[in-house]
Amino acid sequence: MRLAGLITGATALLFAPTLAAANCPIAAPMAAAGDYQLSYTLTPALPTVGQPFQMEILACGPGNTAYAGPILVDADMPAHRHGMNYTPSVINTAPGTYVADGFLLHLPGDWRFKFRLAGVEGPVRLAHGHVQP
Amino acid sequence: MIRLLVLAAVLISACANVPSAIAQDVSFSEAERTAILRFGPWPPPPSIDASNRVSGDERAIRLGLQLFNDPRLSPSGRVACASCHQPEQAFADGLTVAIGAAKGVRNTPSLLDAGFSRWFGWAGANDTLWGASIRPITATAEMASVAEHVQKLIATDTTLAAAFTQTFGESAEAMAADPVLVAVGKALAAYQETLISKRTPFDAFRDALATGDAAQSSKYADSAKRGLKLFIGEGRCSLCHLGPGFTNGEFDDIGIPFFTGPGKVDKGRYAGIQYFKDSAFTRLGAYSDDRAGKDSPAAIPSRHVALQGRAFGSFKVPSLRGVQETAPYMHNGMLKTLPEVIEHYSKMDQERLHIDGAAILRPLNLTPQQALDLEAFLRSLSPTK
Repeated sequence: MRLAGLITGATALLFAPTLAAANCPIAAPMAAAGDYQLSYTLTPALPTVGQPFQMEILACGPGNTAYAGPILVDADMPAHRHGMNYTPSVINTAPGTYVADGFLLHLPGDWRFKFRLAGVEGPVRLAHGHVQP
Repeated sequence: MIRLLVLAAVLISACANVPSAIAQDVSFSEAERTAILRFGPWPPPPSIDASNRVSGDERAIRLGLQLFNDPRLSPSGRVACASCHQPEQAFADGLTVAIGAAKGVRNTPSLLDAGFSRWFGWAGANDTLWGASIRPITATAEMASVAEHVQKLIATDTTLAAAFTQTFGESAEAMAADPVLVAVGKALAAYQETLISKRTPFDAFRDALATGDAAQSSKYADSAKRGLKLFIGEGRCSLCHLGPGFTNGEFDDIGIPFFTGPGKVDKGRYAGIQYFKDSAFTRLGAYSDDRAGKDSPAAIPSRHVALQGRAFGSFKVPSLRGVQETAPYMHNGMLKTLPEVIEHYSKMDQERLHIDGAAILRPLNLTPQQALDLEAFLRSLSPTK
């Protein structure tokens, strides 16, 4: 039993760096703050105004490890100081990988995706611009 | 040389008889063309609602039509769905505000193209057409009915009882009152999904633009073309009125007062979301037939809609299809004609808007010719009679 536990622990140790290395560091970060960086893809890649879409997020933390904490996401139009009519939900699907549902941009124009990560020393805020045609 | 002079004289003579604004050829840039093509094609494919097991079912559509016109759904026996949603009035009623069992506070919206909506009613209180059909049946100012009354009507009327059993596979008499009310809502929704607005002069122009049919596109009035240019350009109307349905399906505050009487306000979208979150008749509830349940793609907006302060006094961005037929306008019917609507946007009082940043809406300050052009374009969104 103890041996099995040891093997499981060793396997986890072996796999953790492998998974982290697969995701981090991100080749082309779309947003970064301190030791944290992320990139994302949208589904569909080019959302339609007024239609829901999904976001997959890859996030890295200190030491180029896969980020494992919670992520809050949102979007707003900075020039107009208003956001979406919806609050997206986020689930963690793999180390450093998150899927956010419930995005809906109801106007064309300059939007900004906002991310809040739980950093070691407090909240870490990242953002990335998005032009919605 | 003589030929050229003659040609020039003919052209000068022809143009001299036309006001300068009209004589200008209306052409569209590539970006404008792209924007225009996004308003079609029309009609879109029929919508089937996974939350309604009888959506698209012929028997349900027939039963829905019958129920739509039946005033006995109201206990007074005087108010049917068709009392306010009159087929000859583009399924609106032409009144400032609806009058059902009592005088309401909102204008009756047209039901044409309702099946393509995400949220229903001026406040978006429902996320399904069947839920939106149940709400007026039980609303005290509309049909003022209750589930037990509806069940009794269906169970005791031989024709309705037979059609109900045929459609839903069980008799209304054997069912509890609420499931019968839900089934009635779903039959009504199946019928309303068939109410699709007809193609318009704009659609013919848009399709001609898509195919490069110059002869067809030249049939579209120049005034409407200029109005379209304004609509997608400096007028910025297409920020909200977009896509084949000319709406983003969402909600906004455009400076229309939301006071309904001394000390009384219509909270609009804010109240709509509150109603929705308390309702049992939604995509997220037990009465939805969608097997994917809350995980259905169609339920994503329902799961994520947020009750925010800025929803207060916001109302649904209506489709502009058939707009010529649906006067008066705005959630409270305060603007009687299309020129009044255009004037509202032209001289918009920004003090009424709760603007926190750069204004999305601003007074258009249209010239008289521009106002006429915009009106011509809006009228081209209705079918030719």
